[in-house]
Amino acid sequence: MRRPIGVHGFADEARPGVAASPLSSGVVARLLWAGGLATLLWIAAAWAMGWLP
Amino acid sequence: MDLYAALIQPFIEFGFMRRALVACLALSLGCGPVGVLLVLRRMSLVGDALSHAVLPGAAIGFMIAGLSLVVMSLGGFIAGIAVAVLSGFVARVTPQREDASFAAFYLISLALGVLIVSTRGSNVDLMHVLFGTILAVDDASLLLVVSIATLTLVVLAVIGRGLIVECFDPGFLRAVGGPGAALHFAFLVLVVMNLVAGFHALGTLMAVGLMMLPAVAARFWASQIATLAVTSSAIAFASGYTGLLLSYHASLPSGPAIILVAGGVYIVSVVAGPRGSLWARFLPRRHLEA
Repeated sequence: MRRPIGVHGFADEARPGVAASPLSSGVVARLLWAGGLATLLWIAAAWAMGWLP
Repeated sequence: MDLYAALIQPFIEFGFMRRALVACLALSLGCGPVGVLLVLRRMSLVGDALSHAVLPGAAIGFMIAGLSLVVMSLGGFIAGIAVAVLSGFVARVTPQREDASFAAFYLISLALGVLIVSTRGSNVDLMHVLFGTILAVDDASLLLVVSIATLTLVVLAVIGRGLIVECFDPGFLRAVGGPGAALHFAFLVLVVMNLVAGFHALGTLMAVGLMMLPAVAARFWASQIATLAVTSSAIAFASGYTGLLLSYHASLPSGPAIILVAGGVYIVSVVAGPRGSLWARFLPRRHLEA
């Protein structure tokens, strides 16, 4: 369940009753996005350097 | 000439074109979001100043070890950070504003860098440092650029929210105990790192081009920060791809071709983008009717 914290539209993604920092919420999702993009980038780099068959 | 030969074959046939394309992809993924944050923080020209500030460090690296990738990158990184720290220091202990001190230090850096390369190297070396050669990106340079892009993505995933909060409401950041100064310094490190990556491909004079032009163009197409970052990266990569093809087919220098394509996208965005462009401002739209 999400609840707004009412500050500039930033949503607190913690469950009710769990204190979460407005600076760190959603960090896991963002890390997954970054990791996915980085993986694709490294695959492209391996292709460019001739490391892929 | 069919479409395959025009658009795809150069990248299949030649390794240097493949490496240049992936270098553009890496620069797009790293520089796109960083450029958006620079624009949001009203630091667009600071990016330009820092790109020139990289030069003396790279030049000293060149003086010590020739065209060594690691030494020139390390020198450029140290020089960029030094100029950022010195400019911030002067701005805090004197009445001078930070943009003025950045202007002073980047001019000193540029002159010093050109002086060092000119006295110790040839004109070819100077041109390489100033304008880069993206078609000469080798495996080691590509690994460096890709590593910097990866690090940028991960660091932005962790501190991006704090950086955005600091852009719009530094008072709120202080209220929730956010480390404003540390975030600002981490952001400057990211900017310098990406400029060092861009420096190998586009030279010190145009390294900031793939960072700023897509970011300012994206402002006319998107309004959410995540969408801005994605649009900026997409414009940067499209410019890189198109610029490389132009360079290949028309025998143009690749770096300026890439930056000019990005500049063309910016002009089109100013004229015809859906958000705040000349088209949206001056072309009368129909009123809503009941």
